[in-house]
Amino acid sequence: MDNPTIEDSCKNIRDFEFKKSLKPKIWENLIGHETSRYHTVHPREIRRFLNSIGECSDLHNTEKYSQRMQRISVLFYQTLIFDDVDLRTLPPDGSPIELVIPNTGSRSVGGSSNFSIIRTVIPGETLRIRSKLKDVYSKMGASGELYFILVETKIEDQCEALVASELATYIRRD
Amino acid sequence: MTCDLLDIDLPLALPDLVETPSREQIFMFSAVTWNRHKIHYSDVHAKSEGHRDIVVQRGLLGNFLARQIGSWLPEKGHIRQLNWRVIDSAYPNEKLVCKTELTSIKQVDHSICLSFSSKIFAEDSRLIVKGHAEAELRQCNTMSTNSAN
Repeated sequence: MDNPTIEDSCKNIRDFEFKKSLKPKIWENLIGHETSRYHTVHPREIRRFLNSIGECSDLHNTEKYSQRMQRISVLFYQTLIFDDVDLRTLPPDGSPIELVIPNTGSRSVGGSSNFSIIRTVIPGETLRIRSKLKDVYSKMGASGELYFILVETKIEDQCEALVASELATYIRRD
Repeated sequence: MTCDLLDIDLPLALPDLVETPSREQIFMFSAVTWNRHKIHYSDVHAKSEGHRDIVVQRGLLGNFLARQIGSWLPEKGHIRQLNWRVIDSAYPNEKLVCKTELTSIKQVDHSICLSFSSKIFAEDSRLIVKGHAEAELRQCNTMSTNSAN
């Protein structure tokens, strides 16, 4: 292979600079993108959720069920976070659709959730779930570049009052 | 035993919550939250990403903290905010110990606001989660003081 010419070197540098400047532009176009959907909460979903987190006794005892609802349904809202989009539209690792963002790595590591709960969910009510890409940025970690994807989800009732919200930070890397 | 909230010495350690999530529980939590991320159900995929097994979901870890705090709060108490960050991966059949302390109590109008600081440790002492919670008690000035001690 021939030695690179000065023109080749300049082109490589220009490509590198171009890619560096291009990434944020791709992300900028996606930041603020919002999806919205409605969901009617079925009591069976709540029982299944309680079961999945280890609250599995006396679920059919109405009084105890009601008490548990008051106490721990706070995070039932988690069941509403992930959109029920077609499996084929998800990234290859099956991570959430919100993580389909170019140049943000192929695998997830860690992450965080900030949940605010205004009120308890009411079985039978219809809720509106709005998810928005809040931010995307990168940082150099000890073992390579890390990409931070911030997704905000707001859950509202039929009066458009906020009942819960989450700001999730997903961390991706190659 | 109940006492006035203002008499509580802080920080107050809540009773530990010990959980050992099974593969079945991890599967159920993925199903119920419609989380199709492969690291939570395919050990082949999880290992290809450098994990030693399937990984416990961030949401399930947060729910352990919510259960610990929620079961300690008196009847009129509600968790208003729960923030948690995953520091390291947790795996099935691994004993996880949730440690939470009540760190502050403030009177705000007709409510009492409680702050909690939480950590989840694996049995090999790895720090899995760091968290923080805020809870509210309405028109209530007494509570159980069951602590870890």
